[in-house]
Amino acid sequence: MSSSSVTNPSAADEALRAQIFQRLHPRVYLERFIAEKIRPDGRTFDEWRNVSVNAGSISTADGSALVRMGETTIVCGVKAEIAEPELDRPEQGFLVPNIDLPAICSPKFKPGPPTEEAQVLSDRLNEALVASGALSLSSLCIHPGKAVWTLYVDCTCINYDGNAFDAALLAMLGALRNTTLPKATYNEETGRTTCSRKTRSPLPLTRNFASTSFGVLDTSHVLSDPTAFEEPLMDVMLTVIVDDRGELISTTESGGAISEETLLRCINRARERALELKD
Amino acid sequence: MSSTALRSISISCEEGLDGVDGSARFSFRPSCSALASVSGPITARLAAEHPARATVEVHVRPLSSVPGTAEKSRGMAIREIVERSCLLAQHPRTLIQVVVQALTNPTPGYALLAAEINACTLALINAGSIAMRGVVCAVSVGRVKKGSVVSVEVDMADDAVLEGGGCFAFLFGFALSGPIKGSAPPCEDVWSTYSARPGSSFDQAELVRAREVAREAAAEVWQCMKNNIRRQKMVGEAQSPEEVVVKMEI
Repeated sequence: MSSSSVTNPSAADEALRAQIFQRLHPRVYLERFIAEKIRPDGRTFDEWRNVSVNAGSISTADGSALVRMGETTIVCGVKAEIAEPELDRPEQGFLVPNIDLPAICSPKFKPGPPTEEAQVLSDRLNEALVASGALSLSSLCIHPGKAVWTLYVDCTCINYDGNAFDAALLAMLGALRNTTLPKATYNEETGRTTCSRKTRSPLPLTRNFASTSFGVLDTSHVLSDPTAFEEPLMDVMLTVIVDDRGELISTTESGGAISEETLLRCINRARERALELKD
Repeated sequence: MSSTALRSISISCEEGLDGVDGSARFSFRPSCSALASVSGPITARLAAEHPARATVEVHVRPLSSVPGTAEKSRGMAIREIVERSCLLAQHPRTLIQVVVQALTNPTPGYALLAAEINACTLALINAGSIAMRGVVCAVSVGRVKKGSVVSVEVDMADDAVLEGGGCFAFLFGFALSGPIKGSAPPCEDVWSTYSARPGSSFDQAELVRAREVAREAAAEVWQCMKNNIRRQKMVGEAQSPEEVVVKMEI
Protein backbone atom coordinates (compact mmCIF):
# COMPACT_ATOMS: atom_id res chain seq x y z
CA MET A 1 0.00 0.00 0.00
CA SER A 2 2.76 2.49 0.82
CA SER A 3 4.71 3.85 -2.10
CA SER A 4 8.34 2.95 -2.37
CA SER A 5 9.54 6.53 -1.94
CA VAL A 6 8.00 7.08 1.52
CA THR A 7 8.92 4.63 4.22
CA ASN A 8 8.52 6.78 7.35
CA PRO A 9 5.59 9.25 7.46
CA SER A 10 6.96 12.56 8.67
CA ALA A 11 5.53 14.38 11.64
CA ALA A 12 3.87 16.90 9.32
CA ASP A 13 2.04 14.08 7.52
CA GLU A 14 0.82 12.65 10.82
CA ALA A 15 -0.42 16.02 11.96
CA LEU A 16 -2.22 16.50 8.66
CA ARG A 17 -3.86 13.10 8.91
CA ALA A 18 -4.97 13.82 12.46
CA GLN A 19 -6.47 17.13 11.33
CA ILE A 20 -8.34 15.47 8.47
CA PHE A 21 -9.66 12.83 10.85
CA GLN A 22 -10.78 15.56 13.24
CA ARG A 23 -12.69 17.28 10.47
CA LEU A 24 -14.33 14.18 9.07
CA HIS A 25 -15.16 12.31 12.27
CA PRO A 26 -15.19 14.84 15.10
CA ARG A 27 -17.05 12.70 17.58
CA VAL A 28 -14.86 9.64 17.18
CA TYR A 29 -11.80 11.89 17.40
CA LEU A 30 -13.03 13.30 20.70
CA GLU A 31 -13.98 9.88 22.04
CA ARG A 32 -10.50 8.56 21.38
CA PHE A 33 -9.09 11.35 23.54
CA ILE A 34 -11.74 10.84 26.23
CA ALA A 35 -10.81 7.17 26.45
CA GLU A 36 -7.29 8.27 27.43
CA LYS A 37 -8.77 10.66 30.05
CA ILE A 38 -7.50 13.73 28.26
CA ARG A 39 -8.94 16.38 25.94
CA PRO A 40 -7.75 17.40 22.45
CA ASP A 41 -6.13 20.58 23.77
CA GLY A 42 -4.23 18.70 26.47
CA ARG A 43 -6.37 19.60 29.47
CA THR A 44 -7.83 17.10 31.90
CA PHE A 45 -11.60 16.92 32.21
CA ASP A 46 -11.69 19.24 35.20
CA GLU A 47 -9.18 21.80 34.06
CA TRP A 48 -10.10 25.34 33.13
CA ARG A 49 -8.41 27.43 30.51
CA ASN A 50 -6.27 30.36 31.61
CA VAL A 51 -8.25 33.51 32.19
CA SER A 52 -6.84 37.01 31.93
CA VAL A 53 -8.82 40.17 32.56
CA ASN A 54 -7.61 43.58 31.51
CA ALA A 55 -9.77 46.42 32.76
CA GLY A 56 -9.92 50.02 31.69
CA SER A 57 -8.25 49.67 28.31
CA ILE A 58 -10.84 51.69 26.38
CA SER A 59 -10.49 55.30 27.44
CA THR A 60 -13.51 56.59 25.55
CA ALA A 61 -15.89 54.31 27.42
CA ASP A 62 -17.09 54.85 30.97
CA GLY A 63 -15.84 51.40 31.84
CA SER A 64 -14.29 48.56 29.90
CA ALA A 65 -12.77 45.13 30.23
CA LEU A 66 -11.02 42.66 27.96
CA VAL A 67 -11.27 39.02 28.91
CA ARG A 68 -9.28 36.16 27.43
CA MET A 69 -10.43 32.66 28.33
CA GLY A 70 -8.03 30.45 26.44
CA GLU A 71 -8.51 31.60 22.88
CA THR A 72 -11.96 33.14 23.42
CA THR A 73 -11.50 36.91 23.56
CA ILE A 74 -14.29 39.26 24.53
CA VAL A 75 -14.18 43.04 24.82
CA CYS A 76 -16.81 44.82 26.85
CA GLY A 77 -17.49 48.53 27.08
CA VAL A 78 -19.95 50.43 29.23
CA LYS A 79 -21.45 53.73 28.10
CA ALA A 80 -23.72 55.79 30.28
CA GLU A 81 -26.51 57.99 29.05
CA ILE A 82 -29.14 60.01 30.80
CA ALA A 83 -32.74 59.11 30.10
CA GLU A 84 -36.22 59.57 31.46
CA PRO A 85 -37.37 56.67 33.63
CA GLU A 86 -40.47 54.61 32.95
CA LEU A 87 -43.72 55.92 34.40
CA ASP A 88 -44.36 52.92 36.62
CA ARG A 89 -40.76 52.69 37.80
CA PRO A 90 -39.70 56.29 38.37
CA GLU A 91 -36.70 55.51 40.53
CA GLN A 92 -35.06 52.80 38.46
CA GLY A 93 -32.38 53.28 35.88
CA PHE A 94 -31.73 50.97 32.95
CA LEU A 95 -29.11 48.31 32.41
CA VAL A 96 -28.94 47.14 28.80
CA PRO A 97 -26.52 44.27 28.20
CA ASN A 98 -25.82 43.11 24.68
CA ILE A 99 -23.34 40.81 23.01
CA ASP A 100 -22.37 40.71 19.38
CA LEU A 101 -20.71 37.77 17.66
CA PRO A 102 -19.43 39.32 14.42
CA ALA A 103 -18.02 37.43 11.49
CA ILE A 104 -14.49 38.26 12.59
CA CYS A 105 -14.57 35.92 15.56
CA SER A 106 -15.30 32.63 13.89
CA PRO A 107 -16.00 31.18 10.45
CA LYS A 108 -19.35 29.89 11.67
CA PHE A 109 -20.78 33.40 11.96
CA LYS A 110 -21.65 35.16 8.73
CA PRO A 111 -21.84 38.94 8.32
CA GLY A 112 -25.33 40.33 8.70
CA PRO A 113 -27.92 40.75 11.44
CA PRO A 114 -27.16 39.16 14.81
CA THR A 115 -27.34 35.38 14.60
CA GLU A 116 -29.57 33.32 16.82
CA GLU A 117 -26.58 32.43 18.98
CA ALA A 118 -25.81 36.10 19.64
CA GLN A 119 -29.43 36.86 20.49
CA VAL A 120 -29.75 33.91 22.83
CA LEU A 121 -26.49 34.84 24.56
CA SER A 122 -27.70 38.42 24.98
CA ASP A 123 -30.89 37.20 26.56
CA ARG A 124 -29.07 34.81 28.89
CA LEU A 125 -26.63 37.52 29.96
CA ASN A 126 -29.53 39.86 30.62
CA GLU A 127 -31.21 37.20 32.76
CA ALA A 128 -27.98 36.53 34.63
CA LEU A 129 -27.32 40.19 35.43
CA VAL A 130 -30.93 40.73 36.47
CA ALA A 131 -31.33 37.51 38.46
CA SER A 132 -28.22 38.17 40.49
CA GLY A 133 -29.12 41.72 41.34
CA ALA A 134 -25.46 42.69 41.22
CA LEU A 135 -26.35 46.26 40.41
CA SER A 136 -29.37 47.84 42.05
CA LEU A 137 -31.23 49.83 39.42
CA SER A 138 -32.36 52.38 41.95
CA SER A 139 -28.73 53.35 42.49
CA LEU A 140 -28.79 54.69 38.93
CA CYS A 141 -31.44 57.26 39.76
CA ILE A 142 -30.49 60.92 39.44
CA HIS A 143 -33.85 62.48 40.14
CA PRO A 144 -36.97 60.35 40.59
CA GLY A 145 -39.31 60.57 37.66
CA LYS A 146 -37.09 62.91 35.69
CA ALA A 147 -33.58 61.65 35.06
CA VAL A 148 -31.90 58.29 35.44
CA TRP A 149 -28.73 56.72 34.14
CA THR A 150 -28.92 54.19 31.34
CA LEU A 151 -25.94 51.87 31.16
CA TYR A 152 -25.31 50.23 27.81
CA VAL A 153 -23.06 47.24 28.40
CA ASP A 154 -21.87 46.08 25.00
CA CYS A 155 -19.70 43.04 24.44
CA THR A 156 -17.99 42.11 21.23
CA CYS A 157 -16.34 38.80 20.64
CA ILE A 158 -13.01 39.11 18.85
CA ASN A 159 -12.15 35.45 18.83
CA TYR A 160 -14.61 32.64 19.50
CA ASP A 161 -13.30 29.38 20.89
CA GLY A 162 -16.26 28.15 22.87
CA ASN A 163 -17.81 29.12 26.20
CA ALA A 164 -18.61 32.67 25.20
CA PHE A 165 -21.19 32.92 27.98
CA ASP A 166 -18.73 32.58 30.85
CA ALA A 167 -16.23 34.92 29.24
CA ALA A 168 -18.89 37.52 28.41
CA LEU A 169 -20.34 37.50 31.90
CA LEU A 170 -16.85 37.94 33.33
CA ALA A 171 -16.19 40.79 30.90
CA MET A 172 -19.47 42.51 31.74
CA LEU A 173 -18.81 42.33 35.47
CA GLY A 174 -15.25 43.52 34.98
CA ALA A 175 -16.42 46.45 32.90
CA LEU A 176 -19.13 47.36 35.41
CA ARG A 177 -16.60 47.27 38.22
CA ASN A 178 -14.36 49.52 36.16
CA THR A 179 -17.17 51.97 35.38
CA THR A 180 -17.24 55.40 36.95
CA LEU A 181 -20.17 57.74 36.59
CA PRO A 182 -19.86 61.54 36.78
CA LYS A 183 -21.73 63.22 39.55
CA ALA A 184 -25.03 64.40 38.06
CA THR A 185 -27.38 67.04 39.39
CA TYR A 186 -30.84 67.71 38.06
CA ASN A 187 -31.98 71.30 37.92
CA GLU A 188 -35.74 71.38 38.53
CA GLU A 189 -36.23 74.83 37.07
CA THR A 190 -34.58 74.28 33.76
CA GLY A 191 -35.29 70.56 33.60
CA ARG A 192 -31.69 69.80 32.64
CA THR A 193 -29.11 67.52 34.16
CA THR A 194 -25.56 68.75 34.63
CA CYS A 195 -22.66 66.35 34.96
CA SER A 196 -19.48 67.24 36.74
CA ARG A 197 -16.26 66.84 34.78
CA LYS A 198 -14.14 66.37 37.86
CA THR A 199 -15.97 64.09 40.28
CA ARG A 200 -16.57 60.56 39.17
CA SER A 201 -17.74 57.77 41.41
CA PRO A 202 -17.75 54.01 40.84
CA LEU A 203 -20.91 51.94 40.59
CA PRO A 204 -22.24 50.39 43.80
CA LEU A 205 -22.02 46.72 42.89
CA THR A 206 -23.46 44.55 45.63
CA ARG A 207 -22.46 41.11 44.54
CA ASN A 208 -19.68 39.36 42.75
CA PHE A 209 -20.45 36.17 40.87
CA ALA A 210 -19.11 33.90 38.20
CA SER A 211 -20.61 31.42 35.83
CA THR A 212 -19.20 28.02 34.93
CA SER A 213 -20.20 25.89 31.98
CA PHE A 214 -19.84 22.16 31.68
CA GLY A 215 -20.47 19.73 28.89
CA VAL A 216 -21.42 16.13 29.57
CA LEU A 217 -20.57 13.35 27.17
CA ASP A 218 -22.18 9.90 27.47
CA THR A 219 -23.68 10.83 30.86
CA SER A 220 -20.43 10.22 32.70
CA HIS A 221 -17.66 12.35 31.26
CA VAL A 222 -17.98 15.92 32.48
CA LEU A 223 -15.80 18.38 30.60
CA SER A 224 -15.54 21.80 32.12
CA ASP A 225 -15.14 24.92 29.99
CA PRO A 226 -15.64 23.28 26.57
CA THR A 227 -13.90 24.69 23.52
CA ALA A 228 -15.57 25.46 20.19
CA PHE A 229 -14.62 21.99 18.94
CA GLU A 230 -16.09 20.15 21.95
CA GLU A 231 -19.26 22.23 22.38
CA PRO A 232 -21.38 20.88 19.51
CA LEU A 233 -20.47 17.30 20.40
CA MET A 234 -21.70 17.44 23.97
CA ASP A 235 -24.88 15.59 24.92
CA VAL A 236 -25.80 17.87 27.80
CA MET A 237 -24.74 21.44 28.48
CA LEU A 238 -24.90 22.74 32.04
CA THR A 239 -24.27 26.28 33.25
CA VAL A 240 -24.09 27.16 36.93
CA ILE A 241 -23.88 30.71 38.25
CA VAL A 242 -22.50 31.03 41.77
CA ASP A 243 -21.82 34.13 43.83
CA ASP A 244 -18.70 34.73 45.88
CA ARG A 245 -20.35 33.40 49.03
CA GLY A 246 -20.82 30.07 47.36
CA GLU A 247 -24.57 30.39 46.95
CA LEU A 248 -26.28 29.40 43.75
CA ILE A 249 -27.90 32.07 41.67
CA SER A 250 -29.06 30.08 38.70
CA THR A 251 -28.59 26.75 36.93
CA THR A 252 -29.50 25.93 33.37
CA GLU A 253 -29.28 22.46 31.93
CA SER A 254 -30.21 21.40 28.45
CA GLY A 255 -29.98 18.12 26.71
CA GLY A 256 -30.83 15.25 28.92
CA ALA A 257 -30.65 13.58 32.24
CA ILE A 258 -27.57 13.96 34.36
CA SER A 259 -27.33 12.14 37.61
CA GLU A 260 -27.57 14.00 40.88
CA GLU A 261 -23.96 13.26 41.80
CA THR A 262 -22.81 14.79 38.53
CA LEU A 263 -24.92 17.84 39.22
CA LEU A 264 -23.58 18.18 42.75
CA ARG A 265 -20.03 17.69 41.58
CA CYS A 266 -20.48 20.41 38.97
CA ILE A 267 -21.95 22.79 41.55
CA ASN A 268 -19.00 22.21 43.85
CA ARG A 269 -16.56 22.76 41.01
CA ALA A 270 -18.40 25.96 40.16
CA ARG A 271 -18.00 27.13 43.75
CA GLU A 272 -14.25 26.48 43.67
CA ARG A 273 -14.03 28.27 40.39
CA ALA A 274 -15.91 31.33 41.71
CA LEU A 275 -13.40 31.56 44.54
CA GLU A 276 -10.49 31.28 42.11
CA LEU A 277 -11.91 34.01 39.93
CA LYS A 278 -12.56 36.31 42.86
CA ASP A 279 -9.27 38.01 42.17
CA MET B 1 -50.68 27.33 46.29
CA SER B 2 -50.98 23.65 45.85
CA SER B 3 -51.12 21.14 43.10
CA THR B 4 -54.73 22.06 42.42
CA ALA B 5 -53.11 24.61 40.16
CA LEU B 6 -53.00 21.99 37.48
CA ARG B 7 -56.75 21.41 37.59
CA SER B 8 -57.32 24.35 35.28
CA ILE B 9 -55.20 22.94 32.45
CA SER B 10 -57.00 23.23 29.17
CA ILE B 11 -55.91 21.47 26.01
CA SER B 12 -57.45 21.85 22.60
CA CYS B 13 -56.50 20.16 19.36
CA GLU B 14 -59.96 20.05 17.86
CA GLU B 15 -60.28 23.18 15.79
CA GLY B 16 -56.90 22.81 14.17
CA LEU B 17 -55.14 25.21 11.86
CA ASP B 18 -55.67 24.37 8.20
CA GLY B 19 -52.37 25.08 6.52
CA VAL B 20 -50.12 23.03 8.80
CA ASP B 21 -49.71 19.37 9.60
CA GLY B 22 -50.53 19.56 13.27
CA SER B 23 -51.54 22.16 15.81
CA ALA B 24 -52.54 22.36 19.44
CA ARG B 25 -53.35 24.85 22.12
CA PHE B 26 -52.28 24.41 25.73
CA SER B 27 -52.99 26.61 28.72
CA PHE B 28 -52.19 26.24 32.39
CA ARG B 29 -54.81 28.83 33.22
CA PRO B 30 -56.64 31.47 31.17
CA SER B 31 -53.81 33.94 31.68
CA CYS B 32 -51.12 31.57 30.43
CA SER B 33 -51.83 30.04 27.06
CA ALA B 34 -49.90 29.14 23.91
CA LEU B 35 -50.70 27.83 20.45
CA ALA B 36 -48.21 25.72 18.50
CA SER B 37 -48.20 24.44 14.94
CA VAL B 38 -45.95 21.86 13.30
CA SER B 39 -45.24 21.30 9.62
CA GLY B 40 -43.01 18.48 8.68
CA PRO B 41 -41.17 16.74 7.28
CA ILE B 42 -41.14 19.34 4.48
CA THR B 43 -38.49 20.52 2.03
CA ALA B 44 -35.62 22.32 3.61
CA ARG B 45 -33.66 25.20 2.16
CA LEU B 46 -30.47 23.98 0.55
CA ALA B 47 -28.35 25.86 3.06
CA ALA B 48 -30.27 24.47 6.00
CA GLU B 49 -30.55 20.81 5.10
CA HIS B 50 -28.55 18.22 6.97
CA PRO B 51 -27.52 15.03 5.14
CA ALA B 52 -28.19 12.62 7.98
CA ARG B 53 -31.13 14.03 9.84
CA ALA B 54 -34.00 16.50 9.75
CA THR B 55 -33.44 20.19 10.54
CA VAL B 56 -35.66 21.73 13.19
CA GLU B 57 -36.68 25.37 13.00
CA VAL B 58 -38.62 26.98 15.79
CA HIS B 59 -40.21 30.42 15.56
CA VAL B 60 -41.71 31.92 18.70
CA ARG B 61 -44.05 34.87 18.41
CA PRO B 62 -45.12 36.99 21.38
CA LEU B 63 -48.65 38.24 21.81
CA SER B 64 -47.68 41.80 20.99
CA SER B 65 -44.72 43.55 19.33
CA VAL B 66 -42.04 41.90 17.22
CA PRO B 67 -40.11 38.85 18.40
CA GLY B 68 -37.07 39.90 20.39
CA THR B 69 -34.16 38.19 22.13
CA ALA B 70 -36.39 36.66 24.81
CA GLU B 71 -38.39 34.91 22.10
CA LYS B 72 -35.21 33.74 20.38
CA SER B 73 -34.03 32.31 23.66
CA ARG B 74 -37.30 30.42 24.22
CA GLY B 75 -37.15 29.28 20.61
CA MET B 76 -33.69 27.82 21.13
CA ALA B 77 -34.85 26.00 24.27
CA ILE B 78 -37.81 24.51 22.38
CA ARG B 79 -35.58 23.56 19.47
CA GLU B 80 -33.20 21.68 21.73
CA ILE B 81 -36.12 19.88 23.33
CA VAL B 82 -37.64 18.90 19.97
CA GLU B 83 -34.25 17.70 18.69
CA ARG B 84 -33.84 15.52 21.74
CA SER B 85 -37.32 14.06 21.70
CA CYS B 86 -37.91 13.39 17.99
CA LEU B 87 -36.17 10.74 15.94
CA LEU B 88 -34.69 13.08 13.38
CA ALA B 89 -32.52 10.50 11.65
CA GLN B 90 -35.62 9.00 10.03
CA HIS B 91 -36.14 12.06 7.84
CA PRO B 92 -32.80 13.21 6.44
CA ARG B 93 -32.58 16.42 4.41
CA THR B 94 -36.01 17.63 5.49
CA LEU B 95 -37.28 20.42 7.66
CA ILE B 96 -39.54 20.31 10.68
CA GLN B 97 -40.96 23.77 11.18
CA VAL B 98 -42.51 24.63 14.52
CA VAL B 99 -44.25 27.95 15.03
CA VAL B 100 -45.36 28.92 18.51
CA GLN B 101 -47.71 31.80 19.14
CA ALA B 102 -48.10 33.09 22.70
CA LEU B 103 -51.75 33.84 23.33
CA THR B 104 -51.27 35.76 26.56
CA ASN B 105 -48.85 38.32 27.89
CA PRO B 106 -45.52 37.04 29.14
CA THR B 107 -45.41 36.01 32.77
CA PRO B 108 -42.51 37.10 34.96
CA GLY B 109 -41.70 33.45 35.61
CA TYR B 110 -41.39 30.57 33.20
CA ALA B 111 -45.04 29.51 33.00
CA LEU B 112 -45.47 30.71 29.43
CA LEU B 113 -42.38 28.79 28.32
CA ALA B 114 -43.74 25.64 29.93
CA ALA B 115 -47.10 26.15 28.18
CA GLU B 116 -45.29 26.64 24.86
CA ILE B 117 -43.28 23.45 25.29
CA ASN B 118 -46.44 21.47 26.09
CA ALA B 119 -48.25 22.99 23.10
CA CYS B 120 -45.36 21.92 20.84
CA THR B 121 -45.52 18.38 22.13
CA LEU B 122 -49.25 18.19 21.50
CA ALA B 123 -48.85 19.68 18.04
CA LEU B 124 -46.23 17.04 17.20
CA ILE B 125 -48.58 14.31 18.39
CA ASN B 126 -51.42 15.88 16.45
CA ALA B 127 -49.32 15.96 13.27
CA GLY B 128 -48.40 12.32 13.64
CA SER B 129 -45.73 12.50 10.97
CA ILE B 130 -42.60 12.52 13.12
CA ALA B 131 -41.65 9.62 15.35
CA MET B 132 -40.83 10.63 18.90
CA ARG B 133 -38.87 8.97 21.66
CA GLY B 134 -41.43 10.13 24.17
CA VAL B 135 -43.80 12.87 25.22
CA VAL B 136 -42.26 16.03 26.65
CA CYS B 137 -44.15 17.65 29.50
CA ALA B 138 -42.97 20.87 31.09
CA VAL B 139 -43.97 22.69 34.24
CA SER B 140 -42.80 25.84 35.91
CA VAL B 141 -42.15 26.05 39.61
CA GLY B 142 -41.75 28.98 41.92
CA ARG B 143 -40.03 29.40 45.23
CA VAL B 144 -41.85 31.10 48.07
CA LYS B 145 -40.20 33.87 50.06
CA LYS B 146 -38.30 32.84 53.14
CA GLY B 147 -37.50 29.95 51.38
CA SER B 148 -37.62 26.43 51.33
CA VAL B 149 -40.98 25.71 49.84
CA VAL B 150 -41.15 25.08 46.13
CA SER B 151 -44.52 24.79 44.51
CA VAL B 152 -46.08 24.85 41.12
CA GLU B 153 -46.66 28.36 39.88
CA VAL B 154 -50.28 29.28 40.21
CA ASP B 155 -51.32 32.73 39.16
CA MET B 156 -50.24 36.30 38.88
CA ALA B 157 -51.17 37.25 42.42
CA ASP B 158 -48.67 34.76 43.74
CA ASP B 159 -45.96 36.36 41.69
CA ALA B 160 -45.44 39.00 44.31
CA VAL B 161 -44.62 36.30 46.80
CA LEU B 162 -42.37 34.26 44.58
CA GLU B 163 -38.66 34.65 44.87
CA GLY B 164 -37.50 33.10 41.70
CA GLY B 165 -38.26 29.82 40.09
CA GLY B 166 -37.61 27.74 37.07
CA CYS B 167 -38.92 25.55 34.34
CA PHE B 168 -38.35 21.80 34.05
CA ALA B 169 -39.16 19.68 31.01
CA PHE B 170 -39.32 15.88 31.21
CA LEU B 171 -39.50 13.25 28.51
CA PHE B 172 -42.02 10.51 29.32
CA GLY B 173 -41.84 7.20 27.55
CA PHE B 174 -42.45 3.58 28.42
CA ALA B 175 -39.27 2.62 26.63
CA LEU B 176 -37.14 4.65 29.02
CA SER B 177 -35.57 3.12 32.06
CA GLY B 178 -36.72 4.21 35.43
CA PRO B 179 -39.44 3.72 37.98
CA ILE B 180 -43.07 3.88 36.97
CA LYS B 181 -44.89 6.11 39.39
CA GLY B 182 -48.61 5.70 39.33
CA SER B 183 -49.91 5.68 35.79
CA ALA B 184 -47.20 7.82 34.24
CA PRO B 185 -44.31 6.15 32.42
CA PRO B 186 -40.67 6.62 33.40
CA CYS B 187 -39.27 10.03 32.61
CA GLU B 188 -35.93 11.68 32.11
CA ASP B 189 -34.92 15.34 32.22
CA VAL B 190 -34.60 17.05 28.92
CA TRP B 191 -34.23 20.72 29.78
CA SER B 192 -34.28 22.77 32.92
CA THR B 193 -33.48 26.19 34.26
CA TYR B 194 -33.73 27.43 37.82
CA SER B 195 -32.81 30.82 39.17
CA ALA B 196 -33.33 33.03 42.17
CA ARG B 197 -34.63 36.58 42.07
CA PRO B 198 -32.29 39.49 42.70
CA GLY B 199 -30.83 39.43 46.14
CA SER B 200 -31.48 35.82 47.05
CA SER B 201 -29.86 32.49 46.32
CA PHE B 202 -30.52 28.80 46.74
CA ASP B 203 -28.61 25.61 47.49
CA GLN B 204 -28.46 22.28 45.75
CA ALA B 205 -30.88 20.58 48.11
CA GLU B 206 -33.54 23.00 46.98
CA LEU B 207 -32.71 22.36 43.35
CA VAL B 208 -33.19 18.63 43.89
CA ARG B 209 -36.50 19.27 45.69
CA ALA B 210 -37.67 21.58 42.93
CA ARG B 211 -36.94 18.89 40.39
CA GLU B 212 -39.01 16.35 42.35
CA VAL B 213 -41.96 18.72 42.65
CA ALA B 214 -41.73 19.44 38.95
CA ARG B 215 -41.52 15.73 38.12
CA GLU B 216 -44.79 15.00 39.92
CA ALA B 217 -46.51 17.97 38.35
CA ALA B 218 -45.24 16.94 34.92
CA ALA B 219 -46.73 13.50 35.45
CA GLU B 220 -50.09 15.17 36.05
CA VAL B 221 -49.67 17.18 32.87
CA TRP B 222 -48.91 13.93 31.04
CA GLN B 223 -52.11 12.44 32.37
CA CYS B 224 -54.11 15.48 31.21
CA MET B 225 -52.59 15.16 27.76
CA LYS B 226 -53.43 11.48 27.62
CA ASN B 227 -57.03 12.07 28.70
CA ASN B 228 -57.47 14.72 26.07
CA ILE B 229 -55.99 12.65 23.26
CA ARG B 230 -58.16 9.74 24.23
CA ARG B 231 -61.22 11.92 23.72
CA GLN B 232 -60.15 13.29 20.34
CA LYS B 233 -61.82 12.23 17.16
CA MET B 234 -59.45 10.98 14.52
CA VAL B 235 -59.90 11.95 10.87
CA GLY B 236 -62.71 9.92 9.36
CA GLU B 237 -64.29 8.82 12.61
CA ALA B 238 -67.86 9.73 13.35
CA GLN B 239 -67.62 9.20 17.06
CA SER B 240 -64.69 9.41 19.42
CA PRO B 241 -63.14 6.14 20.58
CA GLU B 242 -64.57 6.36 24.07
CA GLU B 243 -68.10 6.40 22.81
CA VAL B 244 -67.71 3.23 20.82
CA VAL B 245 -68.34 0.10 22.80
CA VAL B 246 -66.42 -2.84 21.50
CA LYS B 247 -68.07 -6.16 21.98
CA MET B 248 -66.14 -9.37 21.91
CA GLU B 249 -67.53 -12.18 19.89
CA ILE B 250 -67.09 -15.55 21.43
